[in-house]
Amino acid sequence: MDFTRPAPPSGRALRSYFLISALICAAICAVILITLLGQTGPVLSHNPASLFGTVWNPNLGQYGIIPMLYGSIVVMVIAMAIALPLGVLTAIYIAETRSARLRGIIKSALEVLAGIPSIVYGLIGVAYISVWVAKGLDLQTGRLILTAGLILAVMILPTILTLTEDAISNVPVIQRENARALGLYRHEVILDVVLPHARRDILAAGLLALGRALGETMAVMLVIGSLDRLPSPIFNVLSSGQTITSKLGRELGESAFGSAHFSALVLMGLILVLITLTLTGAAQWLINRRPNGVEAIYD
Amino acid sequence: MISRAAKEHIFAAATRAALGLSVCILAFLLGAIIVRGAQAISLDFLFMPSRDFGSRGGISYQIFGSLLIVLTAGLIAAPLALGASVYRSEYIKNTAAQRLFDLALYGLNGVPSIIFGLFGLILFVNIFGTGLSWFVGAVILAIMMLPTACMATISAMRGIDTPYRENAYALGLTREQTALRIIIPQSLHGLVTGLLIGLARAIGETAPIMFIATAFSGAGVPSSLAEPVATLPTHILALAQQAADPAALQNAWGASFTLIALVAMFSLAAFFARARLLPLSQR
Amino acid sequence: MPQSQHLKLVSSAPHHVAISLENFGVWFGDSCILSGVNAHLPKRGVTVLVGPSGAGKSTLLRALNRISDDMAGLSIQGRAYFEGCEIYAKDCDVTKLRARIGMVFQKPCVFPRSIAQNVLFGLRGVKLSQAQKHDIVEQALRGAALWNDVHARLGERADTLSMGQQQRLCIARALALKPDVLLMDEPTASVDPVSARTIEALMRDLGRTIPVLTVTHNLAQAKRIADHVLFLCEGQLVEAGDAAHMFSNAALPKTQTYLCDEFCEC
Ligand SMILES: Nc1ncnc2c1ncn2[C@@H]1O[C@H](COP(=O)(O)OP(=O)(O)OP(=O)(O)O)[C@@H](O)[C@H]1O
Ligand SMILES: [Mg+2]
Repeated sequence: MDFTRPAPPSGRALRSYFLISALICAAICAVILITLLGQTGPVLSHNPASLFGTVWNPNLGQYGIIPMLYGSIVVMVIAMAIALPLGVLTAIYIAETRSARLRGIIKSALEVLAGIPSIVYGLIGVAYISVWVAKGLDLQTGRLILTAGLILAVMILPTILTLTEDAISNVPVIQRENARALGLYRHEVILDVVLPHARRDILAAGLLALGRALGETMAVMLVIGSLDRLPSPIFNVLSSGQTITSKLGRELGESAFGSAHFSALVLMGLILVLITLTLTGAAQWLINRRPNGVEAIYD
Repeated sequence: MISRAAKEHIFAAATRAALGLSVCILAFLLGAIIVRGAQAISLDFLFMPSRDFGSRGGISYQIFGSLLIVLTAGLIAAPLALGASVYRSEYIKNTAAQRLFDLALYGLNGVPSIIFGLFGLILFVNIFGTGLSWFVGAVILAIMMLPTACMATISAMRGIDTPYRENAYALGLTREQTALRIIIPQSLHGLVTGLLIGLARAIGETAPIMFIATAFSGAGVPSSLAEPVATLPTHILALAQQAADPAALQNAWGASFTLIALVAMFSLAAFFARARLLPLSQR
Repeated sequence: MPQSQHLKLVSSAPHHVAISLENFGVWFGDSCILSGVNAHLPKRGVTVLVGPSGAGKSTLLRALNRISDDMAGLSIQGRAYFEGCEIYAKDCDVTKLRARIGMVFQKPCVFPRSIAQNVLFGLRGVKLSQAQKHDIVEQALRGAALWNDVHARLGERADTLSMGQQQRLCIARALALKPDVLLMDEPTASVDPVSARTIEALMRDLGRTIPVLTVTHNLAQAKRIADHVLFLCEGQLVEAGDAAHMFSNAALPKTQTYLCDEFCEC
């Protein structure tokens, strides 16, 4: 018998098809990064120092990205500051409730919400939230950094809620029962046993939500007011602003390919990808990591 | 110091308040979309082309354009996801290489959607000189769908018991034949589910296609690969920017409702595909 | 209940009783897990709960300190009293009740903290100095026969201990609260024979000061440690009584088959 018979030609063709698809899938991420990197040349050779400035004025060759970076971060912080506590507390209630029906209803509502496209959130922001903010705070316009933060909070709430609820439900029942058998109150069981047990997954959920908040374009773009300046005073979230994504969404169509203007936008995009990739990577790492660590003898 | 019992009450009140607030938000979102959408929807609206930059008339071309782009994207992504998943689960045996591949997929999944638009704008529209083209939009959406489709397929392949493979090898089947006759048929449900979930997400995407594949008005049925189409998300974007006009806003809600109905359709299809296509051995 | 005369334990006078059950029953949805249980747990000694798998032993134990309260579909019938107070009364403070009724589960479960923190885990609402904490930890660990094993590594994480040590840590954790009753659900099921012997001796010791209600499938072990025996089968309390009486000449043939016949062989 001939054990060394070569693979039939169709086999070889199949094999190369598998290989090529795998290579494409694995390489796209790198291709995207390289493509973006390739377009950053003009602004870097033109006036790199202006990048770190606070003025964005393409006509004068000034491409300060600080206002956009600041806007992205502030909007993200507002969204997280609202959605994280709200999501975690709600998840605690859902995970601890005895009503299977309530849990079922909320879980399916969340699934529906997670499927709503971001442009629809943008529409809701324009039609309702910005109007309410303007009326409620008696301002001329409701298109503010705060509004963008609010709409983002609403958008990432389902993500945080679902993932946190999963994390809490995954804490072994036996851990809770042992804690309860020692006469701990419900809140003590949750704060001292359940949350520490689930904290890594909750943190990962938070990081994923952060990445989503940073990368969100349409909803933010429609409600943030598109003002390329740092608010004054700096923490005034009741002023219009700009995030990296909203900037890209507004100006990519208007800037000439290959110009310093375009390449400044690309550079911002590159910064955005690097931040979100870091966040996703950190979340993945947290999820995969094994628990470890020694603590103090007494509390 | 607050007593333990008092803390218990405070904590319970806090979680209940959070639940109340969250439920209000969920109810408001769903309610707004359904009520405003239902007011705007009619047969005429669904089957008439738009007029006056979309603020009058219907959304027939937008529906057509959206479906055209995402279904084409699905057709492009399917073979790539299938091949890559087979290679990942049947050929790569080295853990480091597996990790690297997974990392690339997770990375791709974490790239913000606007970046895909930027990438398409640079590489296809400008460097390859395609101009605004619905087909380029489909390619970009296909890339966005790849991680979802691949992960679902790979996890389905992981679910196939090793004895299947061992038996196939024992019968003298080559790796390729095993993949073709055993692995792919047994993991088809993963691919279909992943693709449908990917489609549900892709059809709602605006940022990746708005610079490369769509025209805001006046686009009809394209006669070549290199023409823009109108899509629902970009239509909503255009209308949302004229929110001061009640008619435009009304149409925006109608388009949103239609878009969400399409998303729900793909999600439901994914749900049923999973149930129907799951091989007997895994039920 | 025709059998109820068998069910009275010897010392049924109220001041000798820690826990008493009157026509006690547990339902999950519409399946009846326990019904018509009338029993008294004496204030001293080790009471062993025996019965085939699925008889409802764990269910009974878990109902006594209301650990199963949160399970969907659970309903309770009849009455259960702990030191004269009704356990399932509306105004019963479940948290205090659980702190007074110690419980050790079949599978040891320690919290991912230091050994000392585990022992002190249930002590809440009292301000303790380091020295007091140390005293409590030492006393509880000695009580659980674990002090010699771990006194040099109190700061290490509890999940680094062996299973048998973890089970004893769980006992120490319950002892630190100075409970009035100790419920133990197959405490030796997941530990090696040597640790099992240690835990048996421990139960005998504890039985001198507080009532211990323990479940076991090991009849030899039951014989070694029991002062009193409750025999549970298919959700019914079949027979209860003194260990000597139950193991040698139980009244009912069913009990004899389960308890005595097997013993005749060894
Ligand atoms: N959460 C639950 N829902 C419904 N039925 C349950 C539940 N928990 C236990 N049961 C049922 O209650 C009965 C008694 O279970 P229990 O755990 O008390 O038995 P056991 O005597 O402790 O058995 P073992 O010796 O095997 O531990 C069993 O028939 C079981 O199926
Ligand atoms: Mg049991």
